[in-house]
Amino acid sequence: MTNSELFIEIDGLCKSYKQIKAVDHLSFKVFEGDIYGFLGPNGAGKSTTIRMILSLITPDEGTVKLFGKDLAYNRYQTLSQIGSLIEKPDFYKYLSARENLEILGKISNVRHLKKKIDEVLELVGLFDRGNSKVKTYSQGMKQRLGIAQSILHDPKLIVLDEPANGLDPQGQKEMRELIHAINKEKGITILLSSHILNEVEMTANRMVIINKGKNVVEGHVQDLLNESDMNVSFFINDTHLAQQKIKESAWIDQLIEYDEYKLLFKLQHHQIAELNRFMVNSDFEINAIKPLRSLEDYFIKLTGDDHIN
Amino acid sequence: MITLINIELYKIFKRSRTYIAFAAVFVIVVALQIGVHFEGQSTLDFLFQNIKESFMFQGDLVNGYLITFIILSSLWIHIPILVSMVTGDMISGEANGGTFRLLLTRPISRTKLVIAKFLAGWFYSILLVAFMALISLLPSLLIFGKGDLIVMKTTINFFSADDLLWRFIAAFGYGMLTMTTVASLSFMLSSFSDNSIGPIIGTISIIIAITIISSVGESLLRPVLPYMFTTYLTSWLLFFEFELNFTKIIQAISVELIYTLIFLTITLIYFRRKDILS
Repeated sequence: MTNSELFIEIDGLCKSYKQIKAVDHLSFKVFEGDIYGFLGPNGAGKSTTIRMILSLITPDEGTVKLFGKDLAYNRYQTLSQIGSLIEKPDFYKYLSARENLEILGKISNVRHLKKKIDEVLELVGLFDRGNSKVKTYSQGMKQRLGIAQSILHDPKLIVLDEPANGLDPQGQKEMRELIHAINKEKGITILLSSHILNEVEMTANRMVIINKGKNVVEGHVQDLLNESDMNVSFFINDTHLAQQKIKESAWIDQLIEYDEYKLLFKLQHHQIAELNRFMVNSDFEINAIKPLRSLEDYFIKLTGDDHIN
Repeated sequence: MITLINIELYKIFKRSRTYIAFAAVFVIVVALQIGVHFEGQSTLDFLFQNIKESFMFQGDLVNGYLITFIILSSLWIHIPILVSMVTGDMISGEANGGTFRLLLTRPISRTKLVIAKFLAGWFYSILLVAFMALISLLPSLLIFGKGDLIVMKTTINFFSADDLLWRFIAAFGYGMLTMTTVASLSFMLSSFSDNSIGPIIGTISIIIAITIISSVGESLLRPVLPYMFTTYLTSWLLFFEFELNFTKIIQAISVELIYTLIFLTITLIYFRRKDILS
């Protein structure tokens, strides 16, 4: 990657609210073309970071560079190239979707505004409801309108903070497809904040996990998920006997723990099939094999089970 | 800047809340006109019972000018409430509705946004006073006709019918200035808050509290009273003195203007640094 392709460069960012350190020396980089996952549990400092990237909040320390320029000194220039959807999509409820977009388009100096509004409403599937007041919209429609306003001025980069919040599984799927379409068809780089690993895994190509305002791990999503060891649970009929058998084999080095229902191993991807064969050959009845990648495992420790699915 | 002002005006006049104020003024003014029409003469007889022994009254004192004067006297507390209903919501309403996230992530300056919002709120305020002037003066004069006006302050002032119209225009003009100050106060409180009720109640509470404290502790507060903006909220009455006291009028206008500037400056300084957490 060359320096000119660097769209977001966060360096040593800090923000405190009274005694609470919301963001603590956070650093990461987003390159042109990325769908960059910004993952962390609730309260990890994601929204505060995003608000600092969008100049809604002033950092205590550190710098935000957008398109190679310091945001603090190039606010207008950089913000004109960014679209955003932060947390829940709020609009002027007493106005229609079109009227909302007209206001935002005028502020952003969008040329051929009416045509552009038609285009984005069509893209997000709200063309027929464009003249309805926003107060009549469902949560999913508001989210889609949120995406529409974020791309209205043809930005190079959009920042989406929990865009799937409040959506049902079908709505979440549609949102993922929309994000992919915007990235691939319009060539827009996306910073996607979420507390759901699966959402990031299915959408992003690179990601950072933060917790308590600090960078925990950063890299390509598939590298982080595949290269890491997996914690794999084997659910079998007789774990006590199996444990004895394992102790007599080389697999004992991989055994992490066991209980009356399952044996938990730390394995490389290719070792799952080998261990499965060993179990079958030892006449154990395998009820289920549940792989849990260490990144997931790690994220669960950070966040609790409810953030995985 | 013009675009921003237009957008703010568009938002104001697209909301039904805006028209509640105009409807309220209309209802109050019409009610007062009807009330004065039926009860005006007996009220005047009661008020002037002492001076009737010393003066001879000719013609109809219940006329359009008297009704307009009574409306002006009655509405000085209502109009600030109606003004702050809109101006107190202009910044806090965006925070409460979450729409600051839409506006301030666009390439616009916070200073320009605050000024555009203030100018739009100011326009609404003067429009409301102008509306009140229009529906007070015009129907009253058309229905009840012109006539002389007696104003009792520390002295009794008699004004002939042809000496009154300019005084009312000046009084309403001054009312626009005081409502600008009220608008700037509620606008400032609006920038401190993330809900709309606080700034509206806050504005009225401040005005009422200072007015009461000023009345109760007048002797104690006498040195500072000339510098309080609330002292001059009813100074439109200065235009109903037989000989205008220009020193007092200029002082009243200056204090109101200075407070407007102070409130607006505080709003700008605070809002430019404010973290948008809503």
